[in-house]
Amino acid sequence: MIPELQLSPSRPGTLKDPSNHFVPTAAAQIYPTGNLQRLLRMLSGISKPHVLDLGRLSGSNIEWLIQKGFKVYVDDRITTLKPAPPSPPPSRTEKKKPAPAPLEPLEYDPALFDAVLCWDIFDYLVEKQAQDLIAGILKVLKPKGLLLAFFYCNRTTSPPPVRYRILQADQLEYKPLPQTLPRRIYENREIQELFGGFDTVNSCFLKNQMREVLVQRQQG
Amino acid sequence: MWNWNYEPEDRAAPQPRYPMEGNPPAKNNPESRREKMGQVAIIGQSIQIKGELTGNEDLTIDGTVEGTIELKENSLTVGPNGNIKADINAKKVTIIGEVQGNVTAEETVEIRETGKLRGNIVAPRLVIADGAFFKGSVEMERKPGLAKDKPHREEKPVSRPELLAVKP
Repeated sequence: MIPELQLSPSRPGTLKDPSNHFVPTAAAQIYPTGNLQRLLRMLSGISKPHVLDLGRLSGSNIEWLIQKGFKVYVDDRITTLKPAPPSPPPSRTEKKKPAPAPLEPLEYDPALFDAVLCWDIFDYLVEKQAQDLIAGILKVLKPKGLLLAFFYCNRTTSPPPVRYRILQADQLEYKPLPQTLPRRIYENREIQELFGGFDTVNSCFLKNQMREVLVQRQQG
Repeated sequence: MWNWNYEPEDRAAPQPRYPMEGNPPAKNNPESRREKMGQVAIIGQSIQIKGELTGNEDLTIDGTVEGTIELKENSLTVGPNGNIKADINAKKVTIIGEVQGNVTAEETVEIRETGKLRGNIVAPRLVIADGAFFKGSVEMERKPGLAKDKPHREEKPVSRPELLAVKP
């Protein structure tokens, strides 16, 4: 068997081969965001809102949010994500897939947070993990609390994981990371089902193939 | 045979083991010791400490500490092999290794790329490198208790020399 050659893309930031997740030379890109701005506006009436950031750790985001008057809690769920166990050799008797590694529960007081920033964490979770995380978020989020999530929607390409950096309320920097993580592509219906206990505030599809979803926890 | 003309070499007069009167011992002053030795205190990789750790000089911990760490006017560096399970209160905290506990700093908390912190941060300035791990809450405020600890310096009114009108 001939080993696959790992060729870097000819231009930084381009992905000729969809299977090539690793783009070490990709530069950070700046994209607009409407739902982060909307979230900030909706929380503007609350004194020192508590926000939980479940995305990749970004020191500048923490500082930015604190300057906006938030109390920030950080709980990076992607870095701590345990890889799925290797599949056992196929056998005739057992055809079940290995169970995904369970996520650590969200150990916070109930109804503590006014908002939860999930960024694109759901793209890297299997269905059961995503459901468990949503159940945990529903417990720690206040009624009418907000949740911001991103979903990558293009099945033909699979860009590398990124670190989101808030530049302004309506502008984000996407900094690609030299990592490979299998990304799950959601159907619209799956996103709706995932946020069953929430009302949709806004859901928009961006030119960079990302769907930004802002949802609000239902009262009671 | 015997060399009766043997003259013993001049031997240096034995130094008193303890400093004598008129030659007072150097004070146990960390600042002067640091200046002389040009280094900070280090808890090495093989050292394990359980309990309360306090001091008034900069400290680097590359070993294991469980309990509390108080260096209110000095810096603490948790080295790459450092493993701390303690609440930390220092002027400046730099984390390169692992810390589990709440960190309060009067100036800065810095988590380097390899640093890991599970605990809450209270500090007016926070620096977190990409790749670092942190789980907890952040309060970028000055801790009121720290301000109390510092003695207030009462400002005396400065007496200015009076200008006297001199008649020609």
